[in-house]
Amino acid sequence: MVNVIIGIIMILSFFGMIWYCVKGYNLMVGFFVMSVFWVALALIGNAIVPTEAMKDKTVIDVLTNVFQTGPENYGKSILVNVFFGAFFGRVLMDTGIASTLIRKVVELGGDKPRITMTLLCVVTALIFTSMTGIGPVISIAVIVLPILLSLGISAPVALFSFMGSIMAGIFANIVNFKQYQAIFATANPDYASYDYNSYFSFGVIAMVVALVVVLVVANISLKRKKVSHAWAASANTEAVADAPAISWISVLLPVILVVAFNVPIILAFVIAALYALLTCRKLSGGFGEICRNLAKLFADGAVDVAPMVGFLLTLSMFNNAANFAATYFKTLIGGFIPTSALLICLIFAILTPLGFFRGPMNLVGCGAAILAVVVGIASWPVQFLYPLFAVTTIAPQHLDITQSWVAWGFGYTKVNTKDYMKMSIPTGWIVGAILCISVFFLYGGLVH
Amino acid sequence: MNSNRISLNQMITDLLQIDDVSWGYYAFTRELLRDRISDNQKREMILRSIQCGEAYADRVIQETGRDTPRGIAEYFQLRVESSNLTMTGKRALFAQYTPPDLIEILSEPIEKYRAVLAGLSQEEAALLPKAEELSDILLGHELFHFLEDRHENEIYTRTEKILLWRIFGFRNYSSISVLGEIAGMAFSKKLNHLPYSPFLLDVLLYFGYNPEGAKSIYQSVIDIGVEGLGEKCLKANH
Repeated sequence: MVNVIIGIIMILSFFGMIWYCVKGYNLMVGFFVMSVFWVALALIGNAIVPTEAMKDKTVIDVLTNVFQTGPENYGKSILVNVFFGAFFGRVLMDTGIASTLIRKVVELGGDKPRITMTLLCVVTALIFTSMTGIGPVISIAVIVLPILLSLGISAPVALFSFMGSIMAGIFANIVNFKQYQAIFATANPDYASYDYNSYFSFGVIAMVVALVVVLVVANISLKRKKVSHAWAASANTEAVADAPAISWISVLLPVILVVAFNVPIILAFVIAALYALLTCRKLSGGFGEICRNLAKLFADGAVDVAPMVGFLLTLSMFNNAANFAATYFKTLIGGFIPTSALLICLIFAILTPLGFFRGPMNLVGCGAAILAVVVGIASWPVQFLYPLFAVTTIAPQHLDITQSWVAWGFGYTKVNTKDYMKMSIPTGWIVGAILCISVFFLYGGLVH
Repeated sequence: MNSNRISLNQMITDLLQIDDVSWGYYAFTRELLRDRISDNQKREMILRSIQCGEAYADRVIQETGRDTPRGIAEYFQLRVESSNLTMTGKRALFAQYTPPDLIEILSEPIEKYRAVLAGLSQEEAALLPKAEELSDILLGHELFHFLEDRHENEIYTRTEKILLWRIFGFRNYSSISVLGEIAGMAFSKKLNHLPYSPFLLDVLLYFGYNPEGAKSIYQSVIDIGVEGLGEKCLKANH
């Protein structure tokens, strides 16, 4: 009975968190408060009815696990990747490689809005297989969005197609992979061996599916809203010289190095960054100047991801708290979670929208608790379970209004959130449903 | 505020000296395909676009028997609406035509311009266009886009194309959107009997949002004027 009451309180707190996210309050603080609340409830519950998760643990042990070990492990396994990824993102921007690729693509498409929009979305998705963080997103957005608008594409469609293509790219993003994989390793240490190479083929499939769905929805919306001819003026921006063609491959270099040559992720980012700097002749001017330049790029990259780092560290506390909370969720919903591959894929497909607003299907939301419950129900192979959760996390989350760069996009384009969500929520759901079913066909056979 | 006042009047005084061809070059600096077009081609295209805009102004007056933008919009049963869409990043939207029949004139830039005028002395304000005139200028320009759609198979701004790429015998041509903008300005200028290029509104209306941004637009136009591209162009044509 106690477990049921605590479970209900925890589920109610889910809704509180959704309200908090929709209100646009700070997520770092929100997840810290949730961690405190859940761990307090779990400690109270354990004092009344001892649980397996807290067996042989003192209160201090539990608090240490949540508030110290969680962020420490996260820092060890994830943050270094995030920082080097951000450094690489800065290199792509400062060398002009990202902006050159975008300009070249526009020159290929010409004044045909649908073709140019498609090409821009493809390039954006490719760029975000390596880049992440709000800084790089804004840097690319201020190039891409004005181009889309100048082609007569309405602001809601422009914003949606851009954010949708980032979402598609994130499916194959190395840094994001490591981030979610760490959550899996917290839920079950055996899952720590799952690596990017094992996931890569699914990541690429997911990226293509997501991109196709985003483009179909954007094109349908474009038909409805029509392409307009606008009289608009914009202040001058400094003309940037094109980056040489030989440097363009840098965008994909980290992924190529990791997948084809098994190069460790951080080294792959460093090699790709040095290659980009070298081919763009940014490694000139003497050793001292090169060192200063590299240090500045790293510092700028760190600033780009600083808000995300704060959030990730409190999220890691929440992930660990979720492990102690899992007992109560299991009491409430454990009986409804199937152990068959087909059924769980169908349930995930149907419930994908619950990944929006940092909901229970979202690993960078309240999903860590559901992961802990699902992991405790049966011995799922990680090759099956990881893609499933990646789908219900990435598709909704990177289209969601709680995503920092989407929220920035509303301020920049003045798009009404309702207009945007009419496209983003169905898209997230369709992408999620298609990919959950794909997971069954690709990896369902591994479930016994 | 005082320095802004002086600047706006000074800017407009200078910009009134700029010929339409130089404004055309300014428009090309905003064109996405600008790097694919040579200077000679640009010159030719600007001149032909201006001629096209003026010719269509004569043609539409003759066809409709009306000589004001409002009258012509009424004749074609276009919906002319005031819209409160607003600025996106550094891009300020003034008006837009959405096929098949909607023209939106944005109220915010005109209101901001009205506020700028209110901050000037009577003598200074007298130098600048009245706020009421602006919506007709904007409407005239958007009417041209409607006519472009109506005559898309024959109008110069749609039939002029450049080759973007070819592969295995397949060729991808593209029209150049800025030609419609240049022609639309010539069309609106003629229809509204203006002594200046409607492109002037880029500076005037942007000033209400961001005086510094307006100055940077002004500077880029002046630089083109100083380079004498417009003048060279006219000489080459004669």
